[in-house]
Amino acid sequence: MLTLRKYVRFLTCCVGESFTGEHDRGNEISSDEAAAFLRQMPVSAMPADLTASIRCRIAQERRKPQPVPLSWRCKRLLQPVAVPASVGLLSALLIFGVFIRIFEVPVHAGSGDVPLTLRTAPRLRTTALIEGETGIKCMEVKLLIDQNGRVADYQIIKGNRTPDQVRHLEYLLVFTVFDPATVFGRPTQETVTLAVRDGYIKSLSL
Amino acid sequence: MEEPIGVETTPGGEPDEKSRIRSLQAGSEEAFDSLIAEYTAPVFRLAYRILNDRADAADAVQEVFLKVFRNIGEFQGDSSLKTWIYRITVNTAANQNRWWRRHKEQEYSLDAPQPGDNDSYFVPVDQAQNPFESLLSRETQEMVRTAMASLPDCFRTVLVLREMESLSYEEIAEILHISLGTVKSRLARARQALKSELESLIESGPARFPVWNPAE
Repeated sequence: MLTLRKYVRFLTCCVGESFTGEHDRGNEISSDEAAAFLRQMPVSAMPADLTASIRCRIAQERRKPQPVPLSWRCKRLLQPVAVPASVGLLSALLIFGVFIRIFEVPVHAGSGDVPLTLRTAPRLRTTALIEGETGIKCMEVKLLIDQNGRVADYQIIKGNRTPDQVRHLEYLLVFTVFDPATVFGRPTQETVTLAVRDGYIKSLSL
Repeated sequence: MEEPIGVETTPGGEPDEKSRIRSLQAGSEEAFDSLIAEYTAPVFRLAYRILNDRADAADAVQEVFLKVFRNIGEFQGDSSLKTWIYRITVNTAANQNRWWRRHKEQEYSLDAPQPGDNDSYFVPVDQAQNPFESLLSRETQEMVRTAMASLPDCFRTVLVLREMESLSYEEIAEILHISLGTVKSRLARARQALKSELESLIESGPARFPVWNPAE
């Protein structure tokens, strides 16, 4: 029998000639002898009933119902309703496409809508009523309207500037409220020019 | 190339193997019986050499034949039937090894025989040997078995396929799904590892393994 030491020496030679696959040159033993050395390593006896067990398991496997693929199940389930469902879907699309125009309701803007345009001018909401003679015949005033719609400042552009007229003008402006100017719907301050005639605000321009 | 015991190929037998595969794919019971009769022993031997456990090897063999039965329909015939079955065996044994490491490595049975207590796996090398030679053979076998068992799975598998099952490099490459160069380099590294293991066992040996022989 080949000794273990000889086999180890064979392995040493093999490692030196790793990739050639030719281990016989210069070795004490041939590669066949070395392979035989390993092949003689004992193998436990095969269980006597192993073959019978295998046949039994294969027979069980044969009897087992074959698993039905999911795709086949889906196909079988959907096949009876495939044509009606397709026709129904097509009809629905057709009807929707044809009649949608008839039922289309135009959308109108509500009065309470906040304009969302880029920029809106201030609008006069309320003004004061001044009784008696104010002395203001014709006057043009430039106003600065703040975010709350109140007059923050003013400048008389045209008209008389007597103290009595100025007092009446200030009284008028204090009780005048505007809708403020907006930028993208958000209130902002803005200047407007106001024409006042006979104590009433006649016109408004930016 | 030397054929493993129990595995027969027909000379120039492509048509035979093809017709056999067709029969198997058609579900012929006779074909399966013949396959089981022919391959059970070699598959068990291969599984035992990889797993080093008789019961695990028997389980692995059953799994292998079940897989063959279930998947024979998908077998394209790109490799030989033997190579395909060996590939399934190697993969099944590797899975079993992984499972064993995860689940059973930490378990110890009180009934399990301790190493050295049970020599049932030793086969008398030669009945004509005297008691000394017989003892020497057993100790040598035990050393080689210990060294092989301590190798990493990939090294042990390639050594088993090449040295014990005498398969060609090409067949090993097909079975392990690796290139020819990888087979050769892995085999060289496996031999190197086996040599190191054996040397370390021999050096630490006299107490456990008296490895001198009468010729020396």
